[in-house]
Amino acid sequence: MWNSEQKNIWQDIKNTWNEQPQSEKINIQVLQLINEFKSKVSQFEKDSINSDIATLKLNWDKTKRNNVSQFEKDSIKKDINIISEFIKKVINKFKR
Amino acid sequence: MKDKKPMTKTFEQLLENNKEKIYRICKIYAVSPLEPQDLFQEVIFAIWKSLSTFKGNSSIDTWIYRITLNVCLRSKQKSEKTYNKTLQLESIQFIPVEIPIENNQQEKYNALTSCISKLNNENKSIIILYLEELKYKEIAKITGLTENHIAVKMKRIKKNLLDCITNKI
Repeated sequence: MWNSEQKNIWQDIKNTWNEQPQSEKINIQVLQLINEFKSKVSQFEKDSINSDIATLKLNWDKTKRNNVSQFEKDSIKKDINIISEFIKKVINKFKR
Repeated sequence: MKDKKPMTKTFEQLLENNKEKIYRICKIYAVSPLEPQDLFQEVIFAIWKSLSTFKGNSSIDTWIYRITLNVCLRSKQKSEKTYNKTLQLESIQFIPVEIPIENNQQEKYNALTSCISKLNNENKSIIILYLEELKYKEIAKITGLTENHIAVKMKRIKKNLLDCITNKI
C-alpha cells in the first residue's frame, strides 16, 4: 500500500518535471548556428593564444631575472616556435 | 536551398530531439548572472565540438546528458568576470509563449525546482536523471557512480526532496 502510494507520488513528481510549463519556444537555425560556431571557435583560439603568450611572457621575464644561460634561452625560443606552429595548425584546422 | 551535409543533418536532428530536455536541466543549474539561455548555448556549443568524437559506446541520450551536466556543473565555477565571455548566438532564439496559467501545476513545478536547487551537485544530477526517466544503470554510466551507490543515494534524495516539497505546498 505504502509502496503503491509512493509510486504514485513519484509518478506525479516526474510528470511535473517532464510536463513543465513551456514559457519559451526554442528556435534554432542550424546552418547559421554552425557558421557562428566556426567563427566563435577561431575567436576562442585567438583568446587562447593571447593567454598562452601572456603566460610565456611572464615566465620569460622571470627567467631573464634569473640570468639563464644562452643554451636555456635558445631552448625556450625553440619551444615557443614549436608551440606557435602547433597553435597555427589548430587555427587553420578550425578555419576549414 | 543548399543540401545539408550528413553531419549538419545529424546535428539538427539531435538538437530537435533533445533541446527541451537540455533546457530543462539548464534552468536548474543557471545561477545569476548566468541565464538558462546562456547555459543552453554553451551546452549546444559543447555538443557541436564533441560530435565528431562520439564513438557510439553509449547511447546518444546518455552522451547528451553527460555533456549537458558537465557544462552545467562547470558553469557554476565561472566567475562574473568570465561570464562576459559567454556565447551570444543569433541563430538560437527563445520566443516567449503565452501559456494558460494553471496555478496548481505551476506551484508544484516551482516547489520541485526550488527543492532540487537546494541539493548538492552530485545529488542534483542524480535526481534530474531519475526524473528524466533514466534507469539506475544509465545514471551510473553518466555520473561514474555504481548502481548500488545510486540506489542508496536515491533513497535519501527522494526522502529529502519529498519532505522539502511537502513543506512548500
